Amino acid sequence: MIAQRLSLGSFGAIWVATALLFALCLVIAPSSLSNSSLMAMLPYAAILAVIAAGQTLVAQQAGIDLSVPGMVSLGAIFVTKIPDQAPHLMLPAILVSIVAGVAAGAGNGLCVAVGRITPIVATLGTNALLMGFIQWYSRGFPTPIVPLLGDWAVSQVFGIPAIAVAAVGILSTVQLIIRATIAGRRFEAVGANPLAATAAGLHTDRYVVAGYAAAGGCYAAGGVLLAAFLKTPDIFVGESYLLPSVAAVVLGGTALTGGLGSIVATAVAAVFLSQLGQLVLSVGAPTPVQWIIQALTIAMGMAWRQSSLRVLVARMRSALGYKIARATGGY
Amino acid sequence: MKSKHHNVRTFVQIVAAVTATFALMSAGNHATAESAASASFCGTKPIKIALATGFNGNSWRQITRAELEDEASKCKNITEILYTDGQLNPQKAISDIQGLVAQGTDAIVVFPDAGPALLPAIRAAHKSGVSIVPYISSPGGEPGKDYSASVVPDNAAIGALFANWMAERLHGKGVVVFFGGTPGNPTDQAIYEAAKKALVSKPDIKLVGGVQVTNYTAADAQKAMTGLLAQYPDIGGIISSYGGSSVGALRAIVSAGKPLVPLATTDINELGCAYYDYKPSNPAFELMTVGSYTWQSRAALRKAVAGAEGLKNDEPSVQSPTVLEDSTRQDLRPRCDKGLPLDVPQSANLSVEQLKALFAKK
Amino acid sequence: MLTLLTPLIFIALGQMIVLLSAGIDLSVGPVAGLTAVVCSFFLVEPVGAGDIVSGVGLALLASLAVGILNWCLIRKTLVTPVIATLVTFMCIRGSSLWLRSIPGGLTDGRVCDWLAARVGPVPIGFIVAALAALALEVLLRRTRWGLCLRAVGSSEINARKAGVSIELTYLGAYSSCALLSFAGGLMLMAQIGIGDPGAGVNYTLTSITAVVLGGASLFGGRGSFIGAFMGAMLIQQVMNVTTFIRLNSAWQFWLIGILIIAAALLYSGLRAGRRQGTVA
Repeated sequence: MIAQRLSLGSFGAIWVATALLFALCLVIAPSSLSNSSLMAMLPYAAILAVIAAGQTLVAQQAGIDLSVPGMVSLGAIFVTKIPDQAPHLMLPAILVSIVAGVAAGAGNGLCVAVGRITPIVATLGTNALLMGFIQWYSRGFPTPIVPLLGDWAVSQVFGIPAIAVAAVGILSTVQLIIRATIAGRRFEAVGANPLAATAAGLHTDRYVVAGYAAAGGCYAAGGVLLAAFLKTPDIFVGESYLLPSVAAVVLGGTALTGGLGSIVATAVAAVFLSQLGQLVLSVGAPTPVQWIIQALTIAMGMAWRQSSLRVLVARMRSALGYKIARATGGY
Repeated sequence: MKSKHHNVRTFVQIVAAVTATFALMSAGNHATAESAASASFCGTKPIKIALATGFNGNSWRQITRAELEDEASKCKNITEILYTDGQLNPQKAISDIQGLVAQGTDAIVVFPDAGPALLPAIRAAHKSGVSIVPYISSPGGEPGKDYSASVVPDNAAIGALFANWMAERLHGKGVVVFFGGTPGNPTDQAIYEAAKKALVSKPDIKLVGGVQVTNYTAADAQKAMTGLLAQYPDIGGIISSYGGSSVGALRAIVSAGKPLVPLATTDINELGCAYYDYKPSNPAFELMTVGSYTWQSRAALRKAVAGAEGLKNDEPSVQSPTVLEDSTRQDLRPRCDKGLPLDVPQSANLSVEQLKALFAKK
Repeated sequence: MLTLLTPLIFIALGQMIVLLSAGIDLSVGPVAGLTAVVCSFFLVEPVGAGDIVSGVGLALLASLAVGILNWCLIRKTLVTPVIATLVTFMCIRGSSLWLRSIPGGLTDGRVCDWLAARVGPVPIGFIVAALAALALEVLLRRTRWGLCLRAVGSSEINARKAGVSIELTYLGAYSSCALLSFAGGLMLMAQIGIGDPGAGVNYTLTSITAVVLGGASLFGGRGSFIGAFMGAMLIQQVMNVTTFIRLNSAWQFWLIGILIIAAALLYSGLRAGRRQGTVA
């Protein structure tokens, strides 16, 4: 009961923060709310939301995924290289991208669940392996996306960028699986309390592997969208998505120490971060200031969230025993 | 299948190397003096050369490497070419140079992506008698003292060229933005300063926003342009130090529903193609590009070889820009070759066949 | 080669301390970079004793401040170490770029020479780093500080029951980590000789790789400084090997990836084996 109220509180905060941010934009830089500015911001927010959804699934299992750069690049590289001069292979290529992401994610999950490697180390290792694969497979140069997909990516559906519509579709599917299927509910249960789940007879390892695999699928899907949107993505295009994906997860209210997560809240946080970026750009802040503002926003968000919940958390910690958080991979 | 075996073999090599030794001695010098005719810059002493780059993940890098190989193939006395990739990690780039020196490489051509941070390693290589030549980007220091020689583009001339062309397009009045690459890199700074200087005499042209960070990617350029459009709704022209990322800036303008404006940058296939796509609906769009200096690895190689062979090399170490495309001139129409990858610069000093072979689907 | 290795050793030792307390410090790379940037304003030619004191002193204070800030964020606002140090990571990178928008401030050659001084073929900095590893190892095994650190890392609650001053231990861990990163930054400065705003950032992930290769557990409480030292040596050696045996770009990535996974699997297998051994 407490946990439920807690989760509502922690996932609701980002909505308020995002509303405040848009209000702030209205006052400081109304131009950042113009139609063209919003239309430019949305595709990036959408792609970040899909990628960060994967990071959310991993965070729910008390992990952190450093293989985001490799996974996103993997999705982008397959979807561009396979149909190169063979446009009819577009749909198979999308499929291969996602399957490759799922497979690589499952590899992460196996390292963590079966190999008993700390998530941060396992994903650091797989990221290097993926980067090597991309360098080898791409032969060191990028390839443009098939025109059909590229044109689709910049099109609009009822005035909304197609990428955003696709992202909403992907996120709804993931959310539906988690909230409306038995497997999904069990996945959440395993994340929320692995000991209780084990006691209830669930094979927690399977759910952990499934979580990482689904995360890999999300990253690769994000990579496909990114490739379509950028037309000719750099071979290491995922490089810049690691930190934002982690930031979106924590701002969304999912704790990196595991437990309940919310893909919706993470998506809202992705919009928040993208609009924040847009705001600092449109007031003309130089790069160092942009970095510092983003860091401070995350810090303030976290500090505010933690201080209001601090008493509760402290109580929960002493009740559950600190050991559990550690045993499940928290820091 | 073939490459798979190659990988297995490489893996065996690695395991052997890592377990066996802490410092492998340089591979045996299997050079045999061949008497076949070499180009005049080659000299006669058999030498081992290396290309040390800080990053190896785009077409530009593959072309510079192919150009270097093409040039090296003219020399029968070059016994081996080694390659290192700094993977965007300055420490690895330093380690690579030291490793090449330790292996007894005679001449090193280096793209100092890490900038001045690489200078001490380059200087040490020079002092130990290796002929080392930085190209494209300068690590600071002086030729002769810190390295054998260097070849760099004339960034000041590029900046002035861009600015003057832009001033003409805007008839002396308008807002211009500047796109760079990684934050604070000296090449962008030099081009920017030169452009600013050239615009001093045109008070009605405002160069605004400083150097935009794009990290040489279209994605970041697109974001930066979106921010700029919010801040300066009436941008009249774009100057960019790298054509590949400029595409993103154009896309930001298009998706904002605004007309495209003149663009001055370095050449890349995608821009030439974009010109023909966009021009019909954007009458104000003009494109001017300078060559992308992929051929500079050739000059760097010649200088490095000359240094190792004790020969004289009088080629200029600062190379002036050449205007490759200018949509306002009939003789320099933008070029678009759909058969080539979009991020290939057409100014490459390789034949179209060579380029196509380099990027052919295997 | 040993000169290149020295900064990584110092930083890996710092990372090791934090890891032993069951934390992690992502800000180590930027702290090393900031040290080099701050020094670059003072150690330019001609350098005087005053410049050295103020430059190095200021960088030292800045590093220490970061260490204390990390501790504050983690312990006073209960943010996880990953997030807290991610925030400082971004802030310090921003500050370095703000101080030096482009690389500048050539370090006086004499300073570099002092820092790179050698005894025979071995750089003094490397000897100091090796001695530091040895000293920390002894301190960890033989002193109350080491005991407290391992106790806090293994179980905060049990450590509290045993009367360990928790906050002091954490404060000590994060500030000594920052100080070792500062030492790494000085060695980095000797290596690059200029204030480069982007320098050092890569050390964050490399230092984690080094301690992992050295057998540390990210769950805290377990690990050894000698292991971290060896891990750093191995990484440097792998970097060297790639040029010696002509590896292509892809293999230069794969080698590190394989090493990380193999080492982690090996250690986790060893631990599982040991656990089973005790049960039996």
